[in-house]
Amino acid sequence: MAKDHAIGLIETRGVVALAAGIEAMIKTADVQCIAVERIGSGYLAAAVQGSLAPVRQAVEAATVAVKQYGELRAAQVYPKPHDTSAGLLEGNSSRRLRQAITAASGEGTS
Amino acid sequence: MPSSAVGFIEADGFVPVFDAVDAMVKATDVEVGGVMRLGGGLVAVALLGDLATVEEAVEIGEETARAVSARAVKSIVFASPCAPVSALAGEPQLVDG
Repeated sequence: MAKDHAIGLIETRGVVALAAGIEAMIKTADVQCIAVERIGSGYLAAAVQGSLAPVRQAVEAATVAVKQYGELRAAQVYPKPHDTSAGLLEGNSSRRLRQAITAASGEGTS
Repeated sequence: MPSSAVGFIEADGFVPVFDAVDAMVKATDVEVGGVMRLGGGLVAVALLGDLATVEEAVEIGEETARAVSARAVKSIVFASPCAPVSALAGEPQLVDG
């Protein structure tokens, strides 16, 4: 459904800042983490997807969290991403990530 | 092993992280998820285990890394990490160079 296809992207330097950002996003709003990308030179990006309001809240929370731990290079919300741009996040690394997430949430204590 | 908590330590250069890992695995029975070469000279290590173990390991690791590389050493501990964060710690090759 188009309604919950908003995408939020954050880009940070270092995995400590990125993990803090992802944790803040997932625990603040009803969004799913759909991609973690290695950008190079120490920069990493994470993408979440869901309805617009939760994605906006998640990215806001991530901005605050990341700044406590490191450098936030960019944070952006895309209310209606085109399929082609959303496709940029469908690389094989995000497929592996989703398998790892289902594995982690499977054995994690929910 | 109840691996519910997750920790990350990050430093400039491989030697500080190698030192930290060596000190941590000798002092605690923390599980090392893996080392991540993030590029730009940034190297990180992912740690798993129960909360007390991970916290103690991160403390030791950060101290050791700081002794080697005066530059920024960052660390974070998640008591009950969300699925994507524990997935990242369990499979650091997702972001390894």
